[in-house]
Amino acid sequence: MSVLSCEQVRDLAEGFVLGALDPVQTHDVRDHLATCTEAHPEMDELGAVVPYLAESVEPVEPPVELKGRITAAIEAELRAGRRADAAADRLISSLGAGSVRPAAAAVVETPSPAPAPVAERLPAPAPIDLATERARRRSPVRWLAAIAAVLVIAALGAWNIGLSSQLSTAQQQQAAVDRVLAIAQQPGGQAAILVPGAGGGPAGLAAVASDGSFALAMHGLAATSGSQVYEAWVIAPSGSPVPIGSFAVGSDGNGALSAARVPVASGLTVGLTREPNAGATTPTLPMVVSGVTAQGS
Amino acid sequence: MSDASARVAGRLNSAADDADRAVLEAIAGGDHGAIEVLYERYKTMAYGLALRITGDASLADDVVQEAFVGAWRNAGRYATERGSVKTWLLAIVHHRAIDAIRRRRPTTELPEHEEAPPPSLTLPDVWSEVAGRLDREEILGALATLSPVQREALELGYFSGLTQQEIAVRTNAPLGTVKSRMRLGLLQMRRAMLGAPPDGGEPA
Repeated sequence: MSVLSCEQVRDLAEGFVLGALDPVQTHDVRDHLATCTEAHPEMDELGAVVPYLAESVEPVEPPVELKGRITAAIEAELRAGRRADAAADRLISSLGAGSVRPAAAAVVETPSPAPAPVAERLPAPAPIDLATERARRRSPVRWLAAIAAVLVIAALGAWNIGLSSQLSTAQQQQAAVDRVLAIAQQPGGQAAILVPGAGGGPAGLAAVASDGSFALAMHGLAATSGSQVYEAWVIAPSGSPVPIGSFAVGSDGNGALSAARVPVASGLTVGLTREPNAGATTPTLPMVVSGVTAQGS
Repeated sequence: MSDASARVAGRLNSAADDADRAVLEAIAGGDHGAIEVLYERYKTMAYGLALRITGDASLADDVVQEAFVGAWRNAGRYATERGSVKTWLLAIVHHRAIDAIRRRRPTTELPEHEEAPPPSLTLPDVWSEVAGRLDREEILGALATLSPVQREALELGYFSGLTQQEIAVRTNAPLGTVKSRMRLGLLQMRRAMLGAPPDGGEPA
């Protein structure tokens, strides 16, 4: 589904290949080309010389220390990847070892009009096998599915309320987790595991797509009251916190948020703060949970 | 460049492409140090491009750093794309540099650009064969065949980070005029590059 027609895309071709469109147009053209079944030879015809514009520039020797900065940045990212692994371990341990199994059996009795077949997607009630999960978890996107399942199951297990409301909450949580997974698994999508600085407590997942789509699903948050909200923040490696949106949390402890056009960079920090009101422009520290996004492969 | 040296350069180019691909495979396979090989090979082109776009040495440092870290991160995805590693890498540098200056420009809305480099182009064989052998002098020669307004439109479009709309305002020309200057400029440059024989003779 493209917002632009082939004709409009042809008209924007020279701006697109040069990188001289505004971000919305660029996104729309890219979107069109990714899904269009028609040929767009004008892109090749006009774009073929563009790489040579880059090569027309006079080469300049960069400062000597730049090479060291690059290798240091790569090492830092490798370490962050290992931290994400450790965070995943903690999360799976804390959620997977606990009250994982109860509600799954009840959910099987889902009334038929239920939109999402929650039960089918819940893994067997057996606890998560940590060794297996650790082995699977070389790439962030591979461990996502496991953690997503844990989030849903843990949410179910934690409640002692009527079946029907439990069910709809479970479906909401499943839908929220699905949104996160869909974004994380897009090409260029990134995901973060959100955990508190120390100890157990709330946990969740966030994902950012390369087009700036964002989704977050949380479990175990303390309920908000009055005008209180949880505000989500995205912090680029060299930027300041950008507020993404806010949500209130009820007694189930679940929270979800979707947004479009959040800042995109690699290694984004995603965090949640508890704010007295919606609309905060600077975060009230400390972060309730935070995590750094990593790209799948 | 003499005929003989141009032919040698052409062969070296294709050997360099193979070597570059091998480096990316090594990176994707977990050899994190291999990025240094790529860096040594393209640092001056990458830095020159970043500096030309940003006009700011410290911003250019950041851009080149981000671009090489991005190339390291995405090395595994390169394999399925077309075009040389050099083209791919310089496209990442270009993209990051444009992002950097647009972010810094207070009047522009913060562009939420995508991470990925622009989609690769399916280049006809004859084109990559001819164009891949041209050196910088010959590329500049092809640019010189453009009319001044066409060249200005291309340069503003590619190096300034301005959108077509902004270029229209800046050059005091209607948007349609800016678009057709860019279009004609790109086509003329292509013609001039194809007209320049690969052995370094005079452009046709």
